[in-house]
Amino acid sequence: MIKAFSKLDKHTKVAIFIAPILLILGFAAADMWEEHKASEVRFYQMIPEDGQCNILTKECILAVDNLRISIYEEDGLTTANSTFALDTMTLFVVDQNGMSETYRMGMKDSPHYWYQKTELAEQLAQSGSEKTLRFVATIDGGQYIAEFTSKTP
Amino acid sequence: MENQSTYWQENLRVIKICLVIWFVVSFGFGLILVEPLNAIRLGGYKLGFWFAQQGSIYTFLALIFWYGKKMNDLDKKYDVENS
Repeated sequence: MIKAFSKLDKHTKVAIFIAPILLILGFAAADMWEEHKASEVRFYQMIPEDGQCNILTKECILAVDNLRISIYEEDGLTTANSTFALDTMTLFVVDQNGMSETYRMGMKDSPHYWYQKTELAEQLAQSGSEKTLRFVATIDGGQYIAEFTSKTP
Repeated sequence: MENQSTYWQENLRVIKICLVIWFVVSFGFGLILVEPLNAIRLGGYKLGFWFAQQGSIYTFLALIFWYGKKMNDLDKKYDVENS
């Protein structure tokens, strides 16, 4: 091995010594680039998978790429169940005047489940009632946003 | 003296070419253009991923020997002694 190396010409020897330095510099720069990219805020819009929503019957799944977030009512709590672990989950209930009430949801057992007590069950109890909802879910700097209407048939 | 200066200029040119190729395969193919390249498959692997994992290393190895050959050619051209 050493014999073979000593037989190489001086330029190849120099290049063999320089290459690992460039390699390490490249890895460091790539790491910085990835870190910079990860810190950028990115927005993704989620849309109802079936084109419509009814949170009372658990028929409200919003999707983008591989992420699915199901919004439903259970035991008097509005719950969000996500296929990926979420960092935060905020729900907005919009009234007839376009004003929204903010509900910062809390984690339930795991970052896949988030819940908050709301009045949506009562507001949507009547047949034909509907409510516009929005949410912002965050995962590693990515903001997943959605606006949808839950209708009770 | 002029001969030495031209030799050095050509030497710098070879180094610049090496650095450009080094940048293109590592940052260009492995990071900046990784998404479009991933649409192409090479032996079952996404091309962008392959460049980031293996392709750039193979290119660096090839560059070492290409640089050595080009410099030896320059040594012969300018009659520089290879010690």
